[in-house]
Amino acid sequence: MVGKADLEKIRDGVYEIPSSARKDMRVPARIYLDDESAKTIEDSAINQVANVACLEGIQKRSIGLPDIHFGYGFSIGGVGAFAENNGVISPGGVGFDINCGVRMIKTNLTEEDVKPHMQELVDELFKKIPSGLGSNGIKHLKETEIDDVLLNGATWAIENGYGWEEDLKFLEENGCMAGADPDYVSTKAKRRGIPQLGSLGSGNHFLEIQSVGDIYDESIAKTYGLEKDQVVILIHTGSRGCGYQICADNLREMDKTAKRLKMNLPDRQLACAPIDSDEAQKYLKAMAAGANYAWTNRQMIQHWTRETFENIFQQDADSLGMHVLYDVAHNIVKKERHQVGKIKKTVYVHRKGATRSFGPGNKEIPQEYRDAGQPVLIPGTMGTCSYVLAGTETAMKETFGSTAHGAGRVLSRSGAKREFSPEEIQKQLNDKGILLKANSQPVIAEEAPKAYKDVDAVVKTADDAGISKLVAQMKPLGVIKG
Amino acid sequence: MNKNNPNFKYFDTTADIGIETKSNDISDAFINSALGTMNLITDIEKIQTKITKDIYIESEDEYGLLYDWITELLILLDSENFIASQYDINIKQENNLFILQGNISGDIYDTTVYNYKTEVKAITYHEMNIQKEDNKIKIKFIVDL
Repeated sequence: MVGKADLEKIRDGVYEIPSSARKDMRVPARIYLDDESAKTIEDSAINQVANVACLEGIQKRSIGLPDIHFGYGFSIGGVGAFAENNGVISPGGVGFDINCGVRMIKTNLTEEDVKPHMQELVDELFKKIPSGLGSNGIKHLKETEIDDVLLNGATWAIENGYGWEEDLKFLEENGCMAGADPDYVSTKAKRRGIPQLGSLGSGNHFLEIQSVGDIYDESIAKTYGLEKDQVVILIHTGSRGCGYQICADNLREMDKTAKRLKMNLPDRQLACAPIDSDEAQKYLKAMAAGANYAWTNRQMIQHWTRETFENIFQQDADSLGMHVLYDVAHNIVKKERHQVGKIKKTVYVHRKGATRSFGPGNKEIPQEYRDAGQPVLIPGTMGTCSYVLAGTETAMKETFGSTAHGAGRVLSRSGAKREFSPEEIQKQLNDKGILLKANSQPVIAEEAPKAYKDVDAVVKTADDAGISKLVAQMKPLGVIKG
Repeated sequence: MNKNNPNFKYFDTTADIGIETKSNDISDAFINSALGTMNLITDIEKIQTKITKDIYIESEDEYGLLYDWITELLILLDSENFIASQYDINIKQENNLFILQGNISGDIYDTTVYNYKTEVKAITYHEMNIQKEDNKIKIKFIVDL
């Protein structure tokens, strides 16, 4: 077990635990933290970054990002890249909510334009977009249709009238991950996913209307199409029960595999299998299918958001400028090429609570943004700001092109419920001029802004350390919560 | 209404929540684990028992069985909107398998009728523990919310 005491400062915002700290570590564990967080971070999360450093085939270093907190297996805010020839795949390195992610939609409206309509917007979006527990989507899929969703992702949604062809260009993987195979998704996962397609869900998922506040990089903001006071919409949700079940099924299988192969794992939730094994290949096919479900889900929610704005402003979405800025996955494993030492290698990058942060010039970035770097969307929590950053060359060199994904819980849910009342939180938000509509009163208290790490500090650390570059801040105007 | 005698406690983790129970036997301990999980979603004692379903699960060990059992209840909730508040199950060991069999009763989970607290994504293996203590079965596990 390693912890805070083992952290060695490398430079501002960057700490490391050398591989000599624990006998079983193959590579160092690097954590991006400001000095204050380095004193308060939970030892269990640090130890999880060290646990990942023990897995077979890990490359360069195991990574913890500025929003790191305890997860299962990998920490949340954790990255591990494994060599194609001798590495492993671990469902716990992705998490239950496969391709939980964020999409930002732009508008050409200003804060002034939407203010008089805010109550109506929040009410209508809440009515139109299913949210909350077991929320069932509006479109009830046929059994046969779920396979098309799992195979084709957002492309399926576009073909079925949920959005515009151009949207695809601005989604990571163009909203459809190659290698997805619905045959490897269990009937149980499909049964959980069918009724829920096109729903926000619960917990920390939300849809938020925001306005652009401070701009930190005028040139990149312009490239992304952002300017001060502009209204944008942020959608934060994932693959719902379908993804949870894909993870649960595969964790279960790999747990058996790890036992059979007598793998000496530091944590049962780190169950994994060699990349070339049947178990790993099956998981990758199912995980890609789960990721496609999530892109479809966000695509459908975006479509209903456009419709709601069209109804209220009596203008079509195109003339309201409702184009996608970008859509990022923050729970996923991807096959990528990265520089490791002197050579470029194919690695499987696990990002769990981590956003891809590809630097300028990368061909995975849409042409329109390529010179600026990939847009990185970092949502805050209820009532706090969110941020747009840009991917950097430093991230390519140090973190396999990855950065933080959000705030990160610091107070337990029951702790938050003991400390805050839903009424009090609702009032605080109203006083700040933020409208909130939620399905569950307890969730309002559980998701109290103070239950999370300060997102402003998280993005500052990411920017200071150079693993992403601050572009703009978004202030919340209205929140829909599950 | 409830023939089971709910007996579970919650413990805090930073991101999620843990459930523990000390029960008379393994079947009771599994029932309390289920009640503890479902009670995170809604006040479980208020769920009426209008629908009964048969249940059969087999796993290679008790840990796997607990994982599969809670997972099955979450699948029923997401796929059929069904939530159970009463459990009549029995666990036995046959050859190398652990088998859970019986029936569960509950209702369609309609949030206009029943309250809604939080969503449970999955059960985890993290710190999962099943052990005998003073002639009781003690179970401890954490769910991902």
